[in-house]
Amino acid sequence: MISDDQIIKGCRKGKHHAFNMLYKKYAAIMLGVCIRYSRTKTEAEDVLQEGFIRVFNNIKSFEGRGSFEGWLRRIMVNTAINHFKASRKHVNHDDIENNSAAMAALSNADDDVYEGEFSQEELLKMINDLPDGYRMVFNLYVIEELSHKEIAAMMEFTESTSKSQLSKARKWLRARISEKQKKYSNYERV
Amino acid sequence: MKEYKNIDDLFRQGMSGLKTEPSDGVWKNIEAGYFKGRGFIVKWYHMAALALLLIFSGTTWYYYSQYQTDSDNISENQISNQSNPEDQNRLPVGETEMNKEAFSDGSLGEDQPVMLIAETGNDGENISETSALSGKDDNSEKQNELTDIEEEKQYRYQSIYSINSQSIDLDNDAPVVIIDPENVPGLKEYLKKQKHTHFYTGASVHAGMVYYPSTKDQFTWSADLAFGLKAGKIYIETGVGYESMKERGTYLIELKSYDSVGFYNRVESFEINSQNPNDIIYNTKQVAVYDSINHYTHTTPLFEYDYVNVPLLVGFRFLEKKKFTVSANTGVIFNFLVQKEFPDSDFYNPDFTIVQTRNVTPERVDWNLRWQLGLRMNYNIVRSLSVSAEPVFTKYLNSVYDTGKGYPNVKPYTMGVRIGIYYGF
Repeated sequence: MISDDQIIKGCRKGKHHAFNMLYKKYAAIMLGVCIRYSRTKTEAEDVLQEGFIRVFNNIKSFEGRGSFEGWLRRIMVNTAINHFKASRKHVNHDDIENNSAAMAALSNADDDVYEGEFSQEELLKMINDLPDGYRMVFNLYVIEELSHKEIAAMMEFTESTSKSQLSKARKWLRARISEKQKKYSNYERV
Repeated sequence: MKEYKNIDDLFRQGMSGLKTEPSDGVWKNIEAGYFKGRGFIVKWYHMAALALLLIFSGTTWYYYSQYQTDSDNISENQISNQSNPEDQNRLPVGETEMNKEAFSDGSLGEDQPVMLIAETGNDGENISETSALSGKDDNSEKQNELTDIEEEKQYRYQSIYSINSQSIDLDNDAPVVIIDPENVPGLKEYLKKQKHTHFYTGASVHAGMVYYPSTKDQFTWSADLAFGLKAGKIYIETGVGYESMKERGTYLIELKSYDSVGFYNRVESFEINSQNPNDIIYNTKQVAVYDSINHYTHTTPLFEYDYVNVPLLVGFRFLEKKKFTVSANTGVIFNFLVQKEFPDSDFYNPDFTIVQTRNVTPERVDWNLRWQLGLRMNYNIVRSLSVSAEPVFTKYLNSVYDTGKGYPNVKPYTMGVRIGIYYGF
C-alpha cells in the first residue's frame, strides 16, 4: 500500500499515475462528503470533479501540517459551498417560510430526539431533502463541527442567520423522523 | 435499540464513514479537465502505431534475409559450376594478375566484377582472410565439392563497389581476376542487386541547443535507433528516438504580508480650552493601521519535456571514397510529447505568506512536426560498419504551445551534432 507521502510526491512531479492513485484512494470518501451537501448524486459528482481538479492544482500548497484527508475534505466542502453560492444566484428557491404546509409540519414537530434504527441511506435522504441553505448550515455545524462565526464567514451571512438556519434544519429533520417513525409503528400494529 | 442524545448526535453518528462510489465517467471528466494539454497519455492508437513500425521493420528484415540467402545461392551456384571442367560457363582458371594500379585509379568500371582469389592449404584449410571477406563458413561443405584445382583456391565474386566498402588492402590481398559477367548467368543481376540495394541499421546520440524566441535557449539531447534502405546513392531512413529538452517555465506567486496601510489619530484625552470654554482640545496620538497586503512575484525554474521521435528522411551520397562518404539528408520528424517534469517553485521569504502559486507557463501540444537538414560524414571502420558525425538543423513546423488555448505561436529551431554508428547488411 503506497503511503500518502509517496502519492503526494508523485502528484507534485506531475505523474499521471500518482493522480490516479490519489483519486482511487479518496474518491469514495470524498463523494460521501460531497453528497451530504448536494440534492442528488449527479450534483455531488459535479462537486467531486471540481474538487479534485482544485486538489490537483493546489497539491503543491499542501504543507504536510495536519492530515491529508482533512485537507482534501476542506477543499471538497469549500467547493460544495461555492457550488451552492453559484447556483443560488440562478435558481429560485422555494423558501420554506413561503411553504405553509411545511411550516405547519415544523410547528407540530417534537423537540425530543427519537430512539430508533436509521440506515445511512435514510439519514442521507433526509439531509438531501433539506432546503439548500438549511442543508449547508446543518452539515457545517453538525458534521464539520464549525462554529456559527466560521459558518457565517463562509456563507457570507450573519451569525444569527446561521443559528436560525440550523434551528429550522433541526425542526425539519425532526418532523421527517417523526413521520417515519409513525409510519413504522403503523406497520407494527398491522 | 440505539439511543441518541439529540438529533445532532443521530446524524453525526449516522453520517460517520459515509462512502459512495463515483460513476466511471467522473475520473474521465477529471482527466479531461486537468490533464488536457498537460502531457501525453499513451492511448491504444499510439501503441498500434509503434507495433506497426516494429512489424514493418521485422518484415523488411525477414524478406531482406531471404534475399540475401538467394544472392548467396547465386554465388554458390557459380562456384559449383566452376567445379565442372566441362561447364561452358566455367571461368578461365588461368588467372591473370590484375593491374592493381588500374584498380586503384578507378579505370575499371563499377559494373565490372572482379574475383578475389586466395590460396588454401593442401588439406583444404581455408585462409581466414578470404573467408572473412566473403562471410562464408570456413568449413562449408560446398567447398569440399570443388575440383582438385579449385580446392587450392576459393572464388568469391565481388564488384568493385563492394570491394571498396570492405576496405581491402590491395597490397596485401590475393591477386584478382577480371570477369565478364555475361559469361556467368545470374551474376550480372546479382552484382546489380548487391550494389544498388543495401539495408542498414544504426544507433546515434544527438546533442544541441533549442533556440526559443521568447525564453532563454536551452540544451537538448536525444538517443535514436535508425533503420534504412540504400539504393545507389540515395537512402531512405526511419527509426525511433527519445529526446529530452528543457525550457524556462513561470510560476506566478500571490503573496500576503502584514503591512501598514496608513494611520489615524486616536483621541487619548480631551479638555476644555481655558481660553474659550466653548472649544474642546483633543489630545491625540497617531496610530498606524495594519492590514494584509497582496503582492505578486514569479519564479522561472527549468521545465523538462520528453518526446518520442519518429523521423522520415531521404539522403543523397554526393561524395564516396574508399573509406569515407559524405551525404546530405532532409525530411520530417514526428515528435510525441510523452512526459513533462515541473519542479516546484522554490520561492521562500519568511516575511511573506504564500496565498497561491500558479503555473502560468504556456501549455505544450501533444505532438509536433519538425523539418530536418543534416550533413552526414561516414567513416568505414571495417566491413559494413561505419561511424558518423552529422551536424543537424531542425525547425518546428507547428507551434510547441497550444495556440487553441490562446498561447503564442512559437516555432523554435535546434542546432546540434549527431554521432552514430551504422551497420550495413
